[in-house]
Amino acid sequence: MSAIRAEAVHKRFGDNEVLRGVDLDVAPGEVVCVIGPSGSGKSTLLRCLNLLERPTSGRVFLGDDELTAPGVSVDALRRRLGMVFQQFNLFPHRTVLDNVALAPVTVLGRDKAEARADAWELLRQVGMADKAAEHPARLSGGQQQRVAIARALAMKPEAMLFDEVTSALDPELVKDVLAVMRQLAEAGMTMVVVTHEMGFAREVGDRVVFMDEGVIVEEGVPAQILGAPKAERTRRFLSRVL
Amino acid sequence: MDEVLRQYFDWDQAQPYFGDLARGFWVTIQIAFLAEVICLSLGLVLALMRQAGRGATTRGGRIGGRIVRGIAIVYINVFRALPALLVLLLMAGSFPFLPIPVIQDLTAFQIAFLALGIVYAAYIAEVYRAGIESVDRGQTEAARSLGMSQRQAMRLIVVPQAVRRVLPPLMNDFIALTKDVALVSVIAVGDVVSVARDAQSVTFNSSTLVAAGLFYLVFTLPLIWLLDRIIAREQRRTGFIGMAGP
Repeated sequence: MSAIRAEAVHKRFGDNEVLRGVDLDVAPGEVVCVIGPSGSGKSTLLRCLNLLERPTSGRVFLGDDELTAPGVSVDALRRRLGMVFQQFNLFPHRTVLDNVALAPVTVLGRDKAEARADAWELLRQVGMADKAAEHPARLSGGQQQRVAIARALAMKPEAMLFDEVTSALDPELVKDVLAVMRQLAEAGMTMVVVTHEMGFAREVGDRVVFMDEGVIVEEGVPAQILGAPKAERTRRFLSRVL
Repeated sequence: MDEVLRQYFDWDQAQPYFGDLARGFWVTIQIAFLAEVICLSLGLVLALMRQAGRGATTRGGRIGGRIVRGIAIVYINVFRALPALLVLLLMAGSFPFLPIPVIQDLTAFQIAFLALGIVYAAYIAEVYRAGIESVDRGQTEAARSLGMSQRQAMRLIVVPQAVRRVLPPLMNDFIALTKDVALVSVIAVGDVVSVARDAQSVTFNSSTLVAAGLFYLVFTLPLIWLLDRIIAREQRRTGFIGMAGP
């Protein structure tokens, strides 16, 4: 059984068809890295997986549950998927600790003291416990992104979605964020990672998916896709970024 | 020259009315604060109604959202377009004659702050709206991705940030509202302007009106000063120039 499955997903913004029929199947515990040129639809695909964008057609499943089924409670399904954004999107009016503990209390109805204790532990795991009382504006981008990862993990999600999470960071801050993601992958978390970090895809990914112009051009184990791509489009893309 | 000065600054003429003027200004302040409470809360409700149906996933949700939005937009535009004085006269002149229990029992004082609150809610709603729309879309997306409903995302994430941003224009509108309380001098509630004008029509001397103006200045100038300080602080902190009020 798959953890996340997308079937024939199409997404159209006006006349612009961003996704033209994408099938993706992610197994539990698998780390899938999605690469491709900008505008290829990889971020849109990721956002379709938790319905931040509603697919124009096609179906999305989380485990056995279909998110795209009519009348389904999207909020309830969405809390089972964690998401981390390129621009962090931490809540600036809340402390770091509150950022992490807020949703477990308000969405899951957990006890406040317990949720805060768990938030501490998560912040410790991402190396941010000493900043728990600060507001996000006082943190560097890399620190904010690690808090954002802890915030998503606080919901105890079945899988995590990462949307170019290192693209807005200064190069020297990328390493810490990738280290946290690597830890997660090693702990067995199911992950879909849209990324430009080919090193990360090669070392941490179980599978690499190359997208271009709204379709999956080819996919396979990292060594094959990054080392010996079959499609001309993949070769051209890799020659530019590697 | 003496004649001119005496017309405006004759202490002996104003002095006997000083107690009445002070009581009148207390009425003015009460009306301002009560109207402010109404327009702050009603304005927020209207601003939220204007956002209704955003992120609705069902057809029913989208249609319902459009209706709620429509009601809010009609309210906001009508009350921004009508003179406050007209609304006040209309309510004060008709409510006592309506066969509707609570409404026909409203006192002139209650009608005064209700009318101003209802009119100003339309302006305040627009201020809130500017604040809500200035909050980055990523904030809502982050909240929704954590499983929050649209309502929770609004209440916990968007509105608190929006209100903080629009504090200066909200204060500006409060100052404008306090000054517009002078409009209620046309109905019998005994606000400071009506007291001053009654006195003027007896003495043919304007010193009581000048005194009423002084009451206003003592109250509003510190508010204006405080507002300028808040805006300056905000600019230093963020480099962002706060939105100007109306």
